[in-house]
Amino acid sequence: MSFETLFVSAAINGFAYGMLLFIFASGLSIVFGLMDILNFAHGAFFMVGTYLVCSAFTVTHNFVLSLAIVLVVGTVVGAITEITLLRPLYGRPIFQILLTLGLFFVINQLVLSLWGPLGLDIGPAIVGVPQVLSVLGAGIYLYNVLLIGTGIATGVVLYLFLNKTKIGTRVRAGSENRELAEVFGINIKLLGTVIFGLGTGLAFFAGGLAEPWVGASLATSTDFLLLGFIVVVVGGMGSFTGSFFGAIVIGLVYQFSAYFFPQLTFVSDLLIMIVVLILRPSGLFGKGKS
Amino acid sequence: MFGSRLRSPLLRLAGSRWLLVAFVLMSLLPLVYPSLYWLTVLSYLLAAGLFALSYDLVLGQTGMLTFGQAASFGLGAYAVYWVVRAGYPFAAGVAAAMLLGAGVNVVMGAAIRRVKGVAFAMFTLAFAEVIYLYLSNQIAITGGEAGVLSPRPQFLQDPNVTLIFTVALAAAAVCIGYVLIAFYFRRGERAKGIIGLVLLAGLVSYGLYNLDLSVLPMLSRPIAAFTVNAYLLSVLILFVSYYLVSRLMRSPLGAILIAVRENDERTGMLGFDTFRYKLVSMGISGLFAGLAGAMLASLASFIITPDLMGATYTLNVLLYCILGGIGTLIGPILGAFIIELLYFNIGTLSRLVGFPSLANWWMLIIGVFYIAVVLFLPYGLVWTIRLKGRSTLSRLRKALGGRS
Repeated sequence: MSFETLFVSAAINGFAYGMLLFIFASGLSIVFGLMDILNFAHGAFFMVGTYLVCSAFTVTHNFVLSLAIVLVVGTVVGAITEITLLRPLYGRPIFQILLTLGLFFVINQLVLSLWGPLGLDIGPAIVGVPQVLSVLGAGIYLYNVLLIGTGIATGVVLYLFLNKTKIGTRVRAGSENRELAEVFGINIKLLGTVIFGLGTGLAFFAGGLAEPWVGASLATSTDFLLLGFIVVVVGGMGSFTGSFFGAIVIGLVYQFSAYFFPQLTFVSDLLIMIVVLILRPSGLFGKGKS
Repeated sequence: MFGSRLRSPLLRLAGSRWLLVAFVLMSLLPLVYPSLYWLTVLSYLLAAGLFALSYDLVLGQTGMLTFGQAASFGLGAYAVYWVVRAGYPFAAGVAAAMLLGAGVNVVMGAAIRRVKGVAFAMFTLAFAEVIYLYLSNQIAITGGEAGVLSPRPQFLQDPNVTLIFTVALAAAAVCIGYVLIAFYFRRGERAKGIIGLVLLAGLVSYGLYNLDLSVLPMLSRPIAAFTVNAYLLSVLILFVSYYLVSRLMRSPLGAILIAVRENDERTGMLGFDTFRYKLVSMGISGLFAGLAGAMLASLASFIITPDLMGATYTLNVLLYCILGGIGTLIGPILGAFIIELLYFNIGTLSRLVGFPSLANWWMLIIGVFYIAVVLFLPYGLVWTIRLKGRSTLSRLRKALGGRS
């Protein structure tokens, strides 16, 4: 394979990976922005999404329907988690970290017990998109191109949700200043439930989307958790636009290093995060609130 | 604890009498219960306890949330292995471990000038993770996933060392008992002094009765001598470290660290270079974390893998501190003991409860444990006991009609 082929392949796959990361990390980012919760269970939610979509697909034989199921289940799970476990812990970051970490272990165990230690894999061909496109000599799964489209569409929907709807305005108000928003009569607690539900739903959804590409395995929970943190930090904590562009950067860096410097695949992303934190502590799109 | 009434150094020691009692009891344990398995486990627990203590210094005393503590811990473990394998003496290895741990922590801590709070936590997480990922791939240096076993220090395999150790400790035990009893008599609390005497006599006779002399012939085997010696040395290191750290926290430097924790900006306004103090705190903490790593590698005979530097161990140490009580110094050590004992005994415990298969669900148990600690014991054991215990005590006194 020539250099150009590899380059094109890395670029398109990197972009697609970035879109996956964006869908995943936007949930993390919205939750952090409104509720100041560093959700360590987010990666585990992603993993449940990957497994759940497999099971849903074997029942329904319809990938889009399975994704919808995954999204709905994720939202409900997130809302329940918020109401039962996170409510007592607002404003105590260390405790939230430990609680979500406990959740991380519990979810891992449940997945292990329910689906067994062997990973599952339904490839792009099985879900109905077997085509491989040839772009400048590089073979690209149509599925990955569709991922880019889905990612952008999700981004647009979330953007409109946050900027054009009443709930979205409240979310932004709450992220800006929690107390003040409460003074103005916004029900922050209810909003928290909605947003944590949405964030978890996005993690499940990203997992479902990622399944045909990365497969379902227990390792994804940690891998994506760390990548999600990197995206959120690089983009700017709690910044929605930041998580979009941060995800693209991190996705591209991930795939390019995987193609050209396999030893540095994940390390390169960590290094970018370190450099960004030192040069711009609030992230690329952060508002200086660190 | 007792103010200026304590003039003589011997009596001042009595101020931390519970610590001394615990120290003596723990160091006499091999005489009563010479199980090599348990002594090794205990050495491991003691190393974990020191690790927890080092983390409490940054998190609990200085108020910095770092997720990179495992880097200095794991590097400490490797440092002692590298140095000893290269043919240098054990002491040089320990010194290298401590210096490396402190160095890594200081470099990591330097970022606090730019990034604070959660961003600092993320920064340190990434920093430690880079070291971890880099070293995991250097199989020639670190042994990769399979890990390496640090060579046992020669002098600890000498049975005579154990004898000297034990005799010294027994003498120390008698001295400490004498000091405590003398302390009460001098304060005019004859009753307490007599109780102390009776307890000491009981303890000595219990010890003599249960004295397991089988430990002595056992010691002719180098491995047994090593286990006992390593355990005794671990006990000594942990107690001395605890003493040093708690001494540090009572010094002016400690007061500044606490001021930084309580209000960073105000301390800066008062003219203290808070950045420098944070670095000092990180450095000292790294020193002890490195020492804990060295203990783990060479005293607890733990197989060292790059995983020691990974996020798992940092999160473990965070849990130790939460369970024990952040900022209490003794709490995190107790937390480490409890959690590590739980990890070691999940199999036994699940059999005791009647569900042997529960052990296969260890992640669930640990996860539920995390959640339960956070929800039901948010201030940790020590704070809870201090708060609840005090109110219970005063209520008891009131009920008995005494002063409250």
